[in-house]
Amino acid sequence: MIAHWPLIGRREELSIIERTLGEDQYRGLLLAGAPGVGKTRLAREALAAADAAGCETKWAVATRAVAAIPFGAVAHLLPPAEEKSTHLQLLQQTGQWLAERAGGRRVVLGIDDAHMLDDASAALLFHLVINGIAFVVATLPTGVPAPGPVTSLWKEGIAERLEVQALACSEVSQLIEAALGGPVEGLTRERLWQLSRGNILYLRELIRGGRQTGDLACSAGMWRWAGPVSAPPQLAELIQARIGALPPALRDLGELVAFGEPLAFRVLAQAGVSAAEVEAAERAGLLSTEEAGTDIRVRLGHPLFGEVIRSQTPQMRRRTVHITLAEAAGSVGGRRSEDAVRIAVWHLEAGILPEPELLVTAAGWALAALDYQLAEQLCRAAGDAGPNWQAERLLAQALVGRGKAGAAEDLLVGQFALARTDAERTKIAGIRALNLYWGLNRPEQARDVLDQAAAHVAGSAHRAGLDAMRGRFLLHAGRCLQVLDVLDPVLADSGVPHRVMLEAMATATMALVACGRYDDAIAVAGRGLPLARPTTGEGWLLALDELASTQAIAYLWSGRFTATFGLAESGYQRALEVRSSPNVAVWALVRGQLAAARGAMTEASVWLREAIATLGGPAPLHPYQGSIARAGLDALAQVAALTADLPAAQAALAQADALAGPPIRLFDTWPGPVRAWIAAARGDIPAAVDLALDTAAEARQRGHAGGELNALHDAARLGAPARVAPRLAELATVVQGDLASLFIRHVKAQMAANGTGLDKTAASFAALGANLLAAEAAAEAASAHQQIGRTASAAASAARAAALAVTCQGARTPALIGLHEPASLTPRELEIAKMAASGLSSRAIAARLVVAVRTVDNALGQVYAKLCIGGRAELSSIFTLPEAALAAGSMGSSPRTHLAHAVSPAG
Amino acid sequence: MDLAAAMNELPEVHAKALRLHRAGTDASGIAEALDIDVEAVGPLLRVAEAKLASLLAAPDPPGRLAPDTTGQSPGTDHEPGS
Repeated sequence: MIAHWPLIGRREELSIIERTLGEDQYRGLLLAGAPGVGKTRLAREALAAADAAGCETKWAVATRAVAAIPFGAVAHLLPPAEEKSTHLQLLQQTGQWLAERAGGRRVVLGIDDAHMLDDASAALLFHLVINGIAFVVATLPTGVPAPGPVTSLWKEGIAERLEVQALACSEVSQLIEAALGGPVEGLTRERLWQLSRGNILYLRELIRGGRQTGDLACSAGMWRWAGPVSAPPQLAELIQARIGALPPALRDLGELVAFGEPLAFRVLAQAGVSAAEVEAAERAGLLSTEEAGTDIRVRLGHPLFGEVIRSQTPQMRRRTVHITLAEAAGSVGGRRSEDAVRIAVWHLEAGILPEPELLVTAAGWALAALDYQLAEQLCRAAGDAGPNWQAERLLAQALVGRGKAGAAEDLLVGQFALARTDAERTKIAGIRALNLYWGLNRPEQARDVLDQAAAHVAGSAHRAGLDAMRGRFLLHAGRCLQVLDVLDPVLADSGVPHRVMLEAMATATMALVACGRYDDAIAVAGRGLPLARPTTGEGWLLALDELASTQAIAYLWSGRFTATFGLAESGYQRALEVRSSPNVAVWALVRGQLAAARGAMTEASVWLREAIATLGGPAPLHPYQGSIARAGLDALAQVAALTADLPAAQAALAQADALAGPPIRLFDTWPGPVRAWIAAARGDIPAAVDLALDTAAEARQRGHAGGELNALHDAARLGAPARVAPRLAELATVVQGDLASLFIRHVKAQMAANGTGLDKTAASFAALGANLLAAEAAAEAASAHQQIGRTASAAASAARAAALAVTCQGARTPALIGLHEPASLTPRELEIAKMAASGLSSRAIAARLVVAVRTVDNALGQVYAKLCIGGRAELSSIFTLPEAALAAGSMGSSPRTHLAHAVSPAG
Repeated sequence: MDLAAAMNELPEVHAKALRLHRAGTDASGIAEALDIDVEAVGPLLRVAEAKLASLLAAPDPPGRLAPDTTGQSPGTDHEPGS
C-alpha cells in the first residue's frame, strides 16, 4: 500500500501560507474547506515549514470526544497544574510557559478541526494569538459554525482565512500517478477524477479500496482499473454518515436524484419537489444545480453520493422512485430525445413494460451512444410485447456491437427479405456484411451480401452506401488505389446522405494517407469533420474520431506536429469524456506515434501502453479493436527497438502476432519496418537494411507510397543511403508534405558525406521537432567532418548530436553509436544551460532562479561534463538549436511528460 | 499555455472567482456567489491568480513550438510536476 502520498497542486497555497507566516500583518491562518479536501495535510506542511525555519511548533487536534472537557484539546500544551489558578491565570501561565520553552523562538501552533474546540481551549487559542505569544494555523470545515473566539480571529482581521479547494483534474492525474508510482490508463484517471472531483480523501480511499480488491492493478507497466469503480466500505460509511444526518425530506429528494440524475427541475417539480427543498439540499451540499437553457439541471453534490444512496435504498423504495421518475418525466414530455432511454429504463426498473414504440426509440438512442448492452435489453423488452421487426433489426445491431456475431447473423439472414424500402435493405446488408467480415471472418460472403443488395437497390444514394462499405473492405485488404476508384464517385455525389458520406470520407482519408497524399487526406477529412455530429445518427462519434485521427496521422507523417498535437489532445479528451475505450485507444496510439516521431521515447512508450491496456480486458477483443491493439504493439516494439531494449521489443511483437482475427493489411507497413529495427537492436545491420527494404517493397506493391518512403528512409538511417536514393527521388514527386524532400536532402548529404549538408539537415529535422532524426543527422555530420579533418566542426556537430540525443529519452540507434552517450540533463540543468548559452552570467542566472551563484556554477559543471564540452562558448553553439528541438524530449503540457524521468521506455 | 486553456486547468472555484473578479464583481458578490466568507475572498483570489500565473508560464505543447507557427516565442522549461 502507499505509505506516503506526495503533496501535489498546493504550491501556491503553501507559498501564501509561508508568506503569511513570515510577515507581521497576521497572527494566524485559518484553513477552511470541505471535508477531505486536504486541509490537515496543508496545515501539517505549514508547521513543517515553520519548524524548518526555526520556529517552535505544537500540534493539537480537537475532537468530538474531548469537546466536552475544558482544555481537552490542548491539555498537552498546559503547564504543570497549579492549584487555585483562575481561568485567566491559567491562560497567562500557559502563555508564559510556552514562551519560556520556546527560548525566544517563535511559537507556531497547529489546531486541527478548530470548530470542535471546547470553549476553554478556544479562549486559550485566542489569548495566545491576541497577545502575540503564538501564531496559529487552524483547520475548520466550511459552513460549520466555529467557537466565537475562533470566528473572531478572521472576522476581526487577526488571522487570514484561506479556503482550500479540491484539486483540479490535471492535479488529480499527477497525484494518482505519483502515488502509484507509474502511468495510469486515461480512462482510469478520468473515472477516479469523476468520482473524487479532486477530494483527496475520497481519492485515497478509492485507490486503497481498488488495491485491496485487486480491481486496480498494474499490468505491463500500466495501472488500470478493471470493472466498475465502487466506493470502498470506509468511504461509504463516511458518506452515509453525512447523508444520514440530513432531514428525511432531503434524503427522499436525494434518492430521486440518485436514481435519475441529471434531472431537469421541471421533472422534480412534477414529482412534487419544491424549489425551496432543492435550495435547502444544495445548501447542505447534497445537490448541485446548473442552468440548462430555460430550466435548471439537478445533480447530486458528489458522484459518490449516488452510489452510496443507491446501495442503501430498499428494493420496494427503488420501485417507487423509478415509477415516480418515469411518470414525472413522461408527463413533462421527454419522448423526443435521449430522455426516452431513461424513461424506458425507469419503467423497466419499476417492473412495468412501457409501450414498444418507446422501447424502440430508446434502443435507437442507446445504439447511437454505443451502449450495446442497454440496446439489447431494450430491444428484447420490446420483443416481449410481441413481434417487432424494428426491434429485431436494432437487436441485431446491438448483438454485432456486443460481439455476438453468430446470434446477429441468425437474425440478419432473414431480415433482408422483410425489408420494405431500399433504405432498410441497404442498412441491413451493411450491418450483415460488417458482421460477416469482422465478427465471423468471412470476407468473401460479406462481399457477396453487398453484391446481392446492390442488385435489389435502385437509388444512387443507397448504392453509394454499399460502395462506401465495399471501399472499406478494400481498404482493410490494403488495396488503397482501388479504394479511391470505388469511392471517387461517392465523394463527388452531393446527394449522398451524411452518414454514408462520412464513412466514404473516412475510408478515403485512410487510403490517401497510405498513398502518401497527405494534403489530399487532410482536405477530405476537413470536408467531413463538420458533417460528423450527433444528428448524423448512429456511430457519429466513431466517424468523427476515425476522420480526425486519420487527419492527425496525415499531419504527423508530413511533419506537421503542431496540428497533430492539437487534434490528438482534443480527440483524446473527447473520448475520455464519453468513456469510449476504442476511441481512447486510437488517440493514445496517435499520441504515442507523435511522441515517437519527436524522439520522446519514454512518453511514446507510455501512450502506446495505454492504447493497448485500454483495449485489454477479460473478454476477447473485437477484431477491429484487435487491429488497433496490433498497431499499438507494433509501434511499441519499434520504440523498444529504437531504445535497444530487445526483450521488450520481441515481447511486444510476439503479443501482436498472437492476436486473433482478420488482420488489416493496411497496417502492415503503417508503423514502419519494425522487424528491421529489432534486427538493428540485435546488432545485425545488414539484416536490418534488408528487412527495411523488404517493407518498402511490400508497401510499393500495395501502392502505399507513404509507408514506402518511411521504410526507405529508415534503410538510409541504417546505413544504406545509396540503395534507396533513386526510388526516394521518384517518391518525392508522389508523397506530399515537406518531409519527403527533407528525406531526400538527408540521403544525398549522407551519400556525399557532406558534413555541412548533414548539419543543415539536422537543423531542419530539429526545427520540425523530430529530435531523434536530428540527433542522428548531427552525429553523421560529426563523422563526415572528422573524416576530412575538420575537427572543430566535428566537435560542434557531435555536441549538437549529444544535446539532441539527451532529449530522446534513451534512444540508441546505430547512427548514434560512437556518439558519446551523455547522462540526461535534468530540467534544472537544461534551464541553466540555456540561460548561460544566451549570454547570462552565473550571477544573473542565480538572481533569476533565486539560488546561490555556486549552485549555478555547479549545475553548469555537470552540464559540461555530461555534454563533454569545455565551457560556455561551446554551450552557445549547441543551444542555438531551435527551441522545439531542445524542448520536445522533456516538455509539453501532456499528462505523460512528468513521467518521463520515472519510467524507462520499455517499461 | 494560453489564457483560455489555463482557466480550464484551474480548480473550478478558482476559475469562477477569477471570472467574477475580472467581470468587476466586488468581494461581497464573489463571496455570495461562491458561498464563502467575504474575508476569504482576498486570499482565494491570490491563490487563484498565482495558480493562473503558473499555468500561463507553463510551456506550450510541443507542436506549438514547431516552425509552422513562426513568430511564436519559444516556451520556457519547467520542472515536471511544477
